[in-house]
This record gives sequence, C-alpha cells and structure tokens, in this order.
Amino acid sequence: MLTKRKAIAAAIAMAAPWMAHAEDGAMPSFRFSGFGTLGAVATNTDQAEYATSVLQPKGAKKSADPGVDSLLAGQVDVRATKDLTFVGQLVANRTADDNYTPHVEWAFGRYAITRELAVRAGILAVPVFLQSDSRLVGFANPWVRPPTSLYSQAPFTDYDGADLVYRRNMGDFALTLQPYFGRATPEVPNAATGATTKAHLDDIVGINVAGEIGAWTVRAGYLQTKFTYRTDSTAQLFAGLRQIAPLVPGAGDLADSLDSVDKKITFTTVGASYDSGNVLFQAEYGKRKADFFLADTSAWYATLGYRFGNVMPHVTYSKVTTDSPTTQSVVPPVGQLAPLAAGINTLLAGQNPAQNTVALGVRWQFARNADVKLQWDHVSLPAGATGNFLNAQPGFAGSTVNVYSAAVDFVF
Amino acid sequence: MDKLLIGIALAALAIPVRAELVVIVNPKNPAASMSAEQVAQVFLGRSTSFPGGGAATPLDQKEGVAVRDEFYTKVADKNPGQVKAYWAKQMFSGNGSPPRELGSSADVKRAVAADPSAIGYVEKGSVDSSVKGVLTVP
Repeated sequence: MLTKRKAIAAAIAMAAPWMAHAEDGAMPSFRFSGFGTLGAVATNTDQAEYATSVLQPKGAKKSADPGVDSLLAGQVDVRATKDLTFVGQLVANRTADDNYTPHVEWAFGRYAITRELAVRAGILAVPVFLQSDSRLVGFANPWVRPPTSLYSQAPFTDYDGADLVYRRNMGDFALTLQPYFGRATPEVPNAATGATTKAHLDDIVGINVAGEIGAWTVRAGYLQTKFTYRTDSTAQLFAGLRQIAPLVPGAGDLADSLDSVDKKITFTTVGASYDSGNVLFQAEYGKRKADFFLADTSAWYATLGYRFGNVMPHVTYSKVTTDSPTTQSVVPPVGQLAPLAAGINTLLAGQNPAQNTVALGVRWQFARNADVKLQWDHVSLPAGATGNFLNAQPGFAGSTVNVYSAAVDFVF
Repeated sequence: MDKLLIGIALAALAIPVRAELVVIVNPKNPAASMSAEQVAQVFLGRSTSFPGGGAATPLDQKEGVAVRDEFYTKVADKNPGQVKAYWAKQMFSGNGSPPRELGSSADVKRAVAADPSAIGYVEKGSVDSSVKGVLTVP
C-alpha cells in the first residue's frame, strides 16, 4: 500500500514538470488539423483534357470533372521538445494511377539548432515557388489552384532529403536562406494508355532565398537534378535512332540529345508578392532547361486582386514560351525511316506547352474556415502548341479553350 | 422627431467607436516600446524575439472576440478572414502554428504578468501595474 502510494507520488512528481509545461504550451504536444477542396472543372472542348500537371492521368473535358482539384488532407504536428518538431501530412487526391488512396505528402523532422537556424529531414516540399508549401491548400490561395502555366513546369511537389533553413531578422527585413538536397521518384502517368512510369530525379540540389519586408515577399531559387525517365516507346525510338546512326548523319547525336537517362534539368525562379489590407499582387517567373526531349520553357504570371471585405475578385495573366525546338529534320519521313521519323516528330510535337492565359476569378470567404471560388480561364494556344493539356487529339494544337472551375475550400 | 434623429445619429456613431488596445509585456521585459510592425511580426510568427533580443511568446485572444479582430485589423492590417488564411498557409506549410489562445483579457494579463517572454494585448481599461504597455493602439 505504502509502496503504491510512493509510486503514485513519484509519478506525480515526475509528471509535474510536464503538467507545468502544459500550462505554458504543453510538450510533447500533438495537433491534428486538415484541409480540403471540393472542386469541379469543365472546359468547352472534348479534344484534350485540362489537368493541373502531367502528373495527373486525366483531366476535365466538356463534362464536369471533380478530380482535378478535389482533395482531402490531414496533418499531424508533434512538438517533442522546444527545439524538435515532426510534421506528417497525408493527402488523398487524384494520383498518377487515378486512385484516391491517401499518400504521404510530407513527413519530416525539424530541429532548431539555434533560434535562426533549423535543419529538416524527411519528405519535404520542393521549395521552388512562392506557393510551393501551400500549393494544395486552396483555402490559403486566391485562385482555385496556383497558375498552372508556371506551376506545372515543375510538377513534382515533394522530395526525400534534407534542408537547412536560416532565417534572420534585420530590423523590419527578414531574410531566409534555404539550401536543400535529395531525390524524388514521382510516378508519371501516360494519359493515352493509363500506364504509369516512375521518373527518377536524382542528385537534387537547390537553394531558396527569400526576403520579407512589410507587406512584400520576394524570393529567388535555383534547382538542378539528374533526371531519368524511360518508357518502352521512348526507348524504342532512341534505339531506332542509334541503329540508323551509321547511315543517317546526326541520328546518333539526336538520340543522345533526346534520350532521358541521367539528364540534367535546371529550374530557376523568381517571384514577388505584395499583400496588404485590400490589395494583393503576386508575380512569378520560371525558366526550365532540360537536356533531353522535355521542352525548355519560360513561364510567368501576374495576379492582381482586391478585397471587398471577404470577397476578392482577381485577374491573372500568364504565359508559357517554348524555348527548344519541337521539330527535327535529321530523320526524313521517307521510306523505311517514315515510322521512326513519325515517332520522333510526335514525341517532339507533344513537348510544346506554350500558352497565353487570362483568368478571372473570385474568392468569397463565407465562413471563418471556408471559402467558395469561381474561376474562368481563357487559354490561347499558339500554332502547334498543346499547352498544359493532356491527351491532345489531332487538330487541338493552336486552339482556344475556356476552362470553368468552381471550388469550396475548407480547413479544420 | 428631432430626438429620434439624434438618437439614430448617436447610434450610428456608436457602432464604429471601439475601445483602445494596449500591447502588454512583462514588467521585467527591457523593451520600453514597440512599433505596430514589430508587434505584428511577433504575432504572425515572422519574428520569435523582441527587438532588443530575448525570446517572445505571443498570446492571443479567442477567435471571434472583438478585441482580437480589432488588434489584427489595426496592427497587422489583416481582417479576421485574412488572419485565418494566413495561419492555414503557415500551418500547412509546416512553418509553425498560431499563438496560443487564452480565454479572456484577464487570462492574458495574468499569463503576461507571470512570464518574462510573454506578449499580449488587452483593452486599455484592463491594464494595471502587473504588466507593462509597450504600444497603444487607438
């Protein structure tokens, strides 16, 4: 009896420091929260599909598609000690294999070495855009989704690796430096066949630099990776080119320049946003360079929004330019070479995401933790370009498309 | 009739007039005053320390309370919806969570009086010598 009392007393004594902590912010502490979007998208064409990026297996046509933007996510934040925290985020949305099974979007530990320097490791967001960390959090964004013209140029959202986050306040200016490294293996769907292929982004190295002063946030970033992606059909094309190399001048070089094994991709971005009182302005620019068949691109957008209480209409202009050739003249489409030439030409022609888009939208935050959005995107495709659309049918390139989106976003 | 008009005019005037706010810290805190910008940085989690150094622990009032809405509107230039969206962005970016909420101005005052790192805000009328005002928000 006495020993039992002693044990209880000892337990209370040991728990006392924790209980004291409980009053000033409990450690270890657990917090569960979540966010989601219920959306629907329709376009005015059945000749191609509207998706947020090439990582989605299909997209919206004339009939409304709820799968483009809808998602549900849960996040657990664990504060183990004053300096050590863990974040886990599960997301259920349309994945490469058209499946809504929740997947781990993030799972990382963060250790604060000093008040200004932290190290993080695990599954992290790739920090290449202003909205990289919150691109799925509709409630935190004015648009139904961040402008796909730019954001789809770097569609993979997370990587396995580590970063350092150095943040220093200098008067009213806050500087953030964030070098990172790691790897990623996103599944890439083939919209035509429904099959998926794993892409390998090895040796990812990058840096994100951000500054905040008053209502302004400016950032710049650079990322490079060694990229590998091969499907049976592309492998066949490159093997075909190498086979005819002795006979067709330039075919071997063309194979080397298109083949996608251990090829370098670089992505350089800059952005600025101003968010104060009733005015929101945000603009970003990104330049992608790929040493294989994937197009080199330049993309940018600018958004202007004005708040009337809880209602914010906004307008966005965005543009994607294709900077690399989308045709070839090495393999002539004649005789026995015709099928190979056709295959290469189709591959290259499909790498033309050029587009100009004007988007008008409105966000109404009708409750403290929920909003409703409507958006109209008017997408003009230059001749030969299929823009950000999937599964383009012959005759679609160069057309003009209207995309209608509606969404309800919530947090809990 | 005149009385009614005066009554309506007074009622209309009465609505926008609100109590002044005071941002309070522990009396042991060396900071003598802070700018609205500095206070906003701490409450938005962009700064974790006081201008003169020393860790800062912001303490919030409950969501939906008038004093809180007024604080964020005047000090951070954000309406309640913007504050919620801002924290949704920070939380789901893994970049921290909003300040701890306390139930009333009396609770905020008591917590600030007990913790040298604490910073809170209360109606001007409820300030006493247990805490120190560093910014008055008209």
